[in-house]
Amino acid sequence: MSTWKSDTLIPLTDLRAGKSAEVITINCGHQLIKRLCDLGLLEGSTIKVSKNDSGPLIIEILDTRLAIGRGQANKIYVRELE
Amino acid sequence: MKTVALVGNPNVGKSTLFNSLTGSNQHVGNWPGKTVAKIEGRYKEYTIVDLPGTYSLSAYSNEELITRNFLRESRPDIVIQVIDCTKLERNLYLTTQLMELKVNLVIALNMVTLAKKRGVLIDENKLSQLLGYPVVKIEANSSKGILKLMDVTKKIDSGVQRRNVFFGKEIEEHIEQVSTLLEKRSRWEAIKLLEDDKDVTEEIKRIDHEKKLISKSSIISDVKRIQIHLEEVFGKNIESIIADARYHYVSGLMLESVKKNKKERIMTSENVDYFLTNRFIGLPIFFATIFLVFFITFIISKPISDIIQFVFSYLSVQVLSVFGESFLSSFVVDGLIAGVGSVLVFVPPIFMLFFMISVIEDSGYMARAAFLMDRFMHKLGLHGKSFLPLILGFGCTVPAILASRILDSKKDRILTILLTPFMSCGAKLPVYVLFAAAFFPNHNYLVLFGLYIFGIIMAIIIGIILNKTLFKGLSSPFVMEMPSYRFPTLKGLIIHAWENTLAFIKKAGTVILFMVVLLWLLASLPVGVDYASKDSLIGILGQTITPFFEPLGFASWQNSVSLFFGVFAKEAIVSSLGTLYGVGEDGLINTIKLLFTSPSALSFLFFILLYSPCLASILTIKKEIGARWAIFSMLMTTSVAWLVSLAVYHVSKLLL
Repeated sequence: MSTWKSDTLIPLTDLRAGKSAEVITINCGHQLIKRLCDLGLLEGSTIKVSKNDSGPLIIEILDTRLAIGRGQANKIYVRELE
Repeated sequence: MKTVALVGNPNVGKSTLFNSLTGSNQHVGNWPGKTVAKIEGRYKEYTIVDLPGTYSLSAYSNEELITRNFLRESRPDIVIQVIDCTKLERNLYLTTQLMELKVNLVIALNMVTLAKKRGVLIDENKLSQLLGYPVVKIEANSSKGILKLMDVTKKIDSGVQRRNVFFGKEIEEHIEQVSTLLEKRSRWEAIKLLEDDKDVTEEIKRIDHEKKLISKSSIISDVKRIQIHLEEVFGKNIESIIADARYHYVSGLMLESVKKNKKERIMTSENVDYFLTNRFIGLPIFFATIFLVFFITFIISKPISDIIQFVFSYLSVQVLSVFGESFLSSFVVDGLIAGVGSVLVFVPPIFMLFFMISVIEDSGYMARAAFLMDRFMHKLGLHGKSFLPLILGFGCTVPAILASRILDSKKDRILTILLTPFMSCGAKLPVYVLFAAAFFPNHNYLVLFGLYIFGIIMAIIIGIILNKTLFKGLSSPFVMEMPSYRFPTLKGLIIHAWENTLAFIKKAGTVILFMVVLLWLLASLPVGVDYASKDSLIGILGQTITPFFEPLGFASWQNSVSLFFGVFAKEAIVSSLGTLYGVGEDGLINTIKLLFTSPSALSFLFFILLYSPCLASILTIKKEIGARWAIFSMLMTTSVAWLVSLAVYHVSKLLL
């Protein structure tokens, strides 16, 4: 298991492209949380941001690439990994 | 006959396997790339059912519900899960849910070679041993391993006691607890209830209600307490806890049966995406692609359509010269030959358009396009995925409406369906071509392109208005997998394109042919009247509705009648104009030059672009979202058309 860079929780939208992070809390509605779980994004999973400029983000998770809207990404809190 | 259901994540090669198994026996209904409803076919003594691609069996989207309900209610004899080995972990997550449902599972590992290239080696015997279900390696593209797969399927013993997915000690205890509350209905329901599944929770609430349990001691409130307890123990939300347990089980499986070489994976998709989703060059590439799709479609299909047209007009001439002018020969020429011809002329462009759209979809570019369009679609209160049905609308409104099923929220679906008719469908094209050639011979492409663009602009305006009035509220979240890029197979493309074309021919063959014959009858009656004259039934009908078009500049009973028939099928507009003006489709161009002015021609074109969708579309809207919206769609589009044409007519009178 990799280690956190710092203890600070940041929204996914603040994570720059190329950085990895551990998902700590997902503050979305239940339906969306379930959807994200099905796609492999759950509290505790490790993700890597591959695109984050304007519009939706693209993240890498479990060998797949996932597009996620900024509004949703803003409600996902992560800790950056080393 | 035994039923075999095909299940799997989206884009794992399920449909390819389905096509390999069933060959040409499949039923029509598979819209490009997306199996949005289940389709059936035959393989030897089995009925094969291809279910929509789904990530899990929760009740999040339409596809998931279709799949889940089918598995639960129809209980297929065997379920084959197709797995994309390059994304093993997430695919096996679905496997755990199929195991929970206690189906007779056979696992087909697809794309093994590709996974191997990326350094993923799978021991299928070990995996099978761990899961307790047969596992077979296949290559759906080249039909490799399919015989073995079906051999294994044949031998599967449905009597065997199946293994459960182990959720870990703590959670297992609570599953048992919920199971007891449910009087041991099923482990599946217990798990679903524990993870707060919407449908199962509703079911149990009903039971609570029947038993008149007071809210403090109902099953639901007991489960709620267990959920809160678990959330405290694990420090996560309940959905994540259960999902995590499943992923944990999957990691356990993979640890023992999969070897991942440390070799750095070459992420080609990532490199390509860097360009295709880039905010500066992504959009130009997108527009160029769309332009190319239409360009190729029409360049290739036009000569073929011309040949078909030629053959039919030759046939008409021959019939007339052999049998002479009579009541019967008029029926054959004006009714049957003109009718069949007007349908078949559309087969080449429709086939090509669906072929090109399948290329975009199968290659994986469609998801990128949805990604690029999301920001823009968001402003209209739509979802990036709405873009797919809207694009399909350029081909035919009917499959476009059906494709809106890929949208998860009802609001997105209704709004998308209401905007789809503004995407100018293939059947309207002949009218544009005819009028553009007659009035704007030097700018005909500009007029064509302008009409298509104007349709899109209207959709945007109406979208914004509807979003601010009828559909206030939050738009649904954008979460979507970006599938790996893949080379589409020619076979797959042809099958998709052909299925859609066949659906069109069937619709056209029945509705349009009926309309042409009806038109001929109405134009010939009462007996003794000149064919399609003012005194025929059709002439009287036309005269009744003509005043409605008076302010728009193209009021004549012939135009009114052709628009009236256009509501039944847009394909009928040009052919009925030909019939009504008594010149046939060939002489029509000279006739309309005399009868229309440039402003009234433009006004007529804009009206056709925007007014009521055709009967088949209206019926599809009714089936999908209800009669109220179908009527709303008709009235809304026709009012918009009327107002726009009014403006176009008067403005262009000043300018032209």
